[in-house]
Amino acid sequence: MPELSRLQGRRILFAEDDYFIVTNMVSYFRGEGAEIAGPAARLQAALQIAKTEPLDGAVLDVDLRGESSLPIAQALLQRRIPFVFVTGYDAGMLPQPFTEAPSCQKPTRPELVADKLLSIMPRT
Amino acid sequence: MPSYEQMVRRQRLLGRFGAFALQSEDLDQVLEEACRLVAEALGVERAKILEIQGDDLLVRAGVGWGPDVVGVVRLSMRDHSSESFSIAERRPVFARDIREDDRFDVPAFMKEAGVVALVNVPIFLPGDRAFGLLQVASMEPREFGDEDAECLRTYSTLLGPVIDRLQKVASLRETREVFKLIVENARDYAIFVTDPDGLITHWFRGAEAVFGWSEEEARGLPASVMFTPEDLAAGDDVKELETARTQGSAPDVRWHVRKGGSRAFIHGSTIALRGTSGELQGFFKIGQDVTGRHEGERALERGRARLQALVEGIPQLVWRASDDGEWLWSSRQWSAFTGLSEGDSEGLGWIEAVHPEDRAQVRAAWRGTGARSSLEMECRIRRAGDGSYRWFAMRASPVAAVSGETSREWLGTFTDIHDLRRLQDVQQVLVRELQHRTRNLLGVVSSVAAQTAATASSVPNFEARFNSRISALSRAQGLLSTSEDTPVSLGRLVDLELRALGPDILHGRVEVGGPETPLPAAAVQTLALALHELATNARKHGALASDEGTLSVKWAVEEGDAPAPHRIVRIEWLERGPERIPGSKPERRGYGRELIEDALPYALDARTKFELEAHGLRCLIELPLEDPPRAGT
Repeated sequence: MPELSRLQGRRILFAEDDYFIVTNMVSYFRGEGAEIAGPAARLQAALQIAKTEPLDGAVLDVDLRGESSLPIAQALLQRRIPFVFVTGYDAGMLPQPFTEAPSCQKPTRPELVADKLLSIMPRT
Repeated sequence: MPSYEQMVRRQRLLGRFGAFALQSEDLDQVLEEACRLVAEALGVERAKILEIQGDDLLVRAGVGWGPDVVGVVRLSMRDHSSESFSIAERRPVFARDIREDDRFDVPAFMKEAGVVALVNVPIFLPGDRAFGLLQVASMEPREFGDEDAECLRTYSTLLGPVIDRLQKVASLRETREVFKLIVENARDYAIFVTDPDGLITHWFRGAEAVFGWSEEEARGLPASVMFTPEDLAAGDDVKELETARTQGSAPDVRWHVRKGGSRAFIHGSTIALRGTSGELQGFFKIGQDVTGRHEGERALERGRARLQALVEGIPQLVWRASDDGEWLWSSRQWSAFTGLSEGDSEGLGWIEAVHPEDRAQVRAAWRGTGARSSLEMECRIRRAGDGSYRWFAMRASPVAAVSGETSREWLGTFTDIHDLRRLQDVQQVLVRELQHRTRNLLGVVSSVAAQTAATASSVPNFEARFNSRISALSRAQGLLSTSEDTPVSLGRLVDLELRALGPDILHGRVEVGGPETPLPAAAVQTLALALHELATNARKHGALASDEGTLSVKWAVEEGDAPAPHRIVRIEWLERGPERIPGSKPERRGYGRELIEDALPYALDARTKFELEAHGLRCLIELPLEDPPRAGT
């Protein structure tokens, strides 16, 4: 049987301020069996989820309506929740201490983001 | 005793001498004539005149004496001769026969000539100065009587003033010769003389060389022909003579006019010439042609002035420094900007104005400049006005050493590059932002494509819908590209999306109205796509699909009810048309409705309503015009 639902049962947070991009992502991830936390277009809303809700992973836009998503990354790091940055900036432009963090450069395809996230998530 | 005839003869001879002495201007001729007449008057073979020259007595003139004696033989005044005795005693000396006379030593040439008897009479010039003596000599022993002595004394007395006059004449002539030599050979000096009225009387070669007129042409001309029209108008020619007349001399430093009209710059003076009784005889003018030097100085001065204007006119701060970066001079701009005076900045004082963090780098740059041919670096300099630091580019190059100088000098500038650096930073940010936006936009395009594809019935259907959405995105980007200066207004956005439907559709059925409402840039793209979907649906399925339908788009700005004070724009989209056939209401939730109900609330924090009614559609969008307060602020 082919691995159709590779994200089955995983709860993934999306922090992305663009509706079209996030819709596309969410649609794909749902198709892969994932449960969606958020999605959140604003730092405050995303941070609240990152700190409090059960999560298996996260996809973070670096910039949320002019605010850096760095606090979300820090919160996730503390909880040892893996995450992938999606950014319109150069990969090298990620802020300290996340310069080496996994990232996808826009425009990207949802399946590539899923690949990257899966590669850092513990297998179940 | 001389006879009467002798007396008459002597008188006649004396008369002849007197006339001769008055006419002649040649002392030697007069002295020789005196000897000749005395010898004739006294009936002796030889007569001579000796002149005191220092310690010697020179045989100045003589009759009966050969050319080996006259002008050649000198007797010492220290010898015990009758001649020196006569001068020392200031009285005549008589010797009847010198062979028997042991009072004096007789000079050898006299003995050899066979002189036996003699008389010496001293000659005195006015003021009792001894000139020499008159001597007559006989080859026979002879007793000279009182009459003879008287005759000799008469001559000697006459000779005194005559010699004095001729000596003065000779001296004067000599002076005049010297003057003439100087004046005529001083080619670099223009020299001429005028009469008291300023008319030229004497014109020398130097004047001709400088001014061009020949002596014939110049004589009689007024000296004012050499004045420029400007100076003449100011009356300077008259003033100059007046000053010379009253003060003795007047400076004459001005442009002069040459023959032919060209000009020469003369450095000279005008001197009043006065006679012995003080009457004005004329003016002596002497001057040097310094046109070349004057032009050179003026060119140098002009060059210096230009350089000065340049140095003080350019925005750069200019300075001169030694090889070690020790300042020797700084421009006014430096002092104006830093508040450090030229004195404060001298040596290494200028480093005081450099930002403390940049000082080590600046000092290092000046170390070992010896071999370098230029110096360039950037550093911050404190502005005196507000104490802020601005970025400057320091550039310096060594000035080619003037021969004889061992150490080099540097000429340097500070150029304000603060704004340039800031603009470069801004540009870097802008490029990064542009890249960010482009990538985001491509992300949006790819998502819209995916979502369009998900509901497309066929490839042509996909193509039509996708292209029309891409066009809406493109219009929004077009508006955003100019939004740096003026924000995109809601009216403009609505207008663009309605027009995109086509020119004929709107005519008479569409009402658009609301205040000028600038939109936040982040809202433009999503709102544009939402309006695009509404407009497209109205045309395909709604009020604009039939001829009777109408569309009204109205908005107003209101205070929002969010916790922080912010404004919202309330947009009402109202379609009215023929009654819809029940059941024709689309079952499937359209993309337009999704954008209104989901995208605007999600991306823009908008509150929306999408109400399909029997007679049309009512859509309400409440869009915040400012961002809500941020997390952590």
